[in-house]
Amino acid sequence: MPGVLYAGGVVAALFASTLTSQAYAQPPFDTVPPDKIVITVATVNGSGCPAGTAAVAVSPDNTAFTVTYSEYLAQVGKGAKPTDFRKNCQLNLVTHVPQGFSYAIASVDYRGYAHLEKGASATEKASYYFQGQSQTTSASHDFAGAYDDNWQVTDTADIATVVWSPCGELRNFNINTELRVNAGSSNTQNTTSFMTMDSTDGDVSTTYHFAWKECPQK
Amino acid sequence: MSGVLLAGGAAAALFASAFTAQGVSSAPDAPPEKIQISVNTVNGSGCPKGTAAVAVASDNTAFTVTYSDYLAQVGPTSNPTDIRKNCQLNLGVHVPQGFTYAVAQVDYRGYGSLQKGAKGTEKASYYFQGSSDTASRTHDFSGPYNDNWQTTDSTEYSELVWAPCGQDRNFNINTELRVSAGTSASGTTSFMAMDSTDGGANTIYHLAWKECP
Repeated sequence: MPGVLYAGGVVAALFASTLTSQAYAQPPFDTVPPDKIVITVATVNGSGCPAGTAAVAVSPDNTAFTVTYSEYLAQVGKGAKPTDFRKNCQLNLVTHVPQGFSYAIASVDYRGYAHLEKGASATEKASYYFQGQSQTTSASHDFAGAYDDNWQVTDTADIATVVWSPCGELRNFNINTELRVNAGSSNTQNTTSFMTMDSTDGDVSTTYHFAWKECPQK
Repeated sequence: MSGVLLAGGAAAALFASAFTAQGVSSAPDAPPEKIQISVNTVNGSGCPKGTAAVAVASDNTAFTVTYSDYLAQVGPTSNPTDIRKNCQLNLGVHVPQGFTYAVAQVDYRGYGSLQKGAKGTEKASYYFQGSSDTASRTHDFSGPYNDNWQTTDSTEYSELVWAPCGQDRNFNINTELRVSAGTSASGTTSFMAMDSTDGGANTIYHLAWKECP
């Protein structure tokens, strides 16, 4: 995984107004197309995805990615520690936004499994922050026990960006996911309720792009 | 395992709802050019880092994954969350230009030890990266059961889910094992394993071909 190179990515996204390629030990992309947004995964970290437990696969065209988890599980009840009811995993994505105006749709699919006793409930929540946009968006999806099956939810966000730098910009896109389980009226002495996340799949589909000046050929 | 493929190539993003096999009536032969199947990642609660092995067949149309620690269980010595384990494979299938592919058959093998009244399930979910469409197949087992098990997911050619033509998206297969105690006697253990002990047979993915328009 390329995570080592971009260990400071989260901080950079919060405090830097622009993030240029000079910030990277090596470019995150071999080549970038002139007319669409491409992405790669810089860091994956959180209580639900400590080092060595997440795997990242980016599509060859750099417009989609899959993250899988081996320990992303929130739980309450028998066998659970008091802090296990909430786990999170934050993805820091490096995006290359082409010069000009781009309009894109980011779609993220979350898949997992939940075992919730009657009376228990659970929440999957994701917060989205795209550098260059003032807006932070979050979406929650709730589940109620009794539940014992796979779950899948999809979040879709519109992204409109204007990039003035002549050759496009690297920007960071943060997705902070979390799982919460609430025991509610369920029996926590003898039963356990839990929720896992198996995978997170992202997809950036550039639907409109307008560039007013071409970059010089290398 | 390395998670990033940086192979260039341009493709428009779209969703799997456009995948069809319309107008295709018979399966053409595999293309003469060599194809490459890569297993980009293998990860999940049933196959944490270092517990899965991958072998690609010499003809590049099938591959095998073996597991050393893929076991779901219920019983006095298990954790409550051991009732369900999963393992997700992310596959890169690099096809000759003008061809696409679909997964036509998947074989799963393992071992089950289910007490009377207990139940076990093997389930696999299939989807292309970036698509919300998920196809799944489920196979159930009932105790008493104490033997190897084998399941096959197969699809008629006309109903295959094809990878989008002109696009280079990875394919995900999320397998899972579940065990429920049901009415089995308390104090007993029931479990389902995928390739638990002998490292033999495995999960084999057969690929089918058709020509892009």
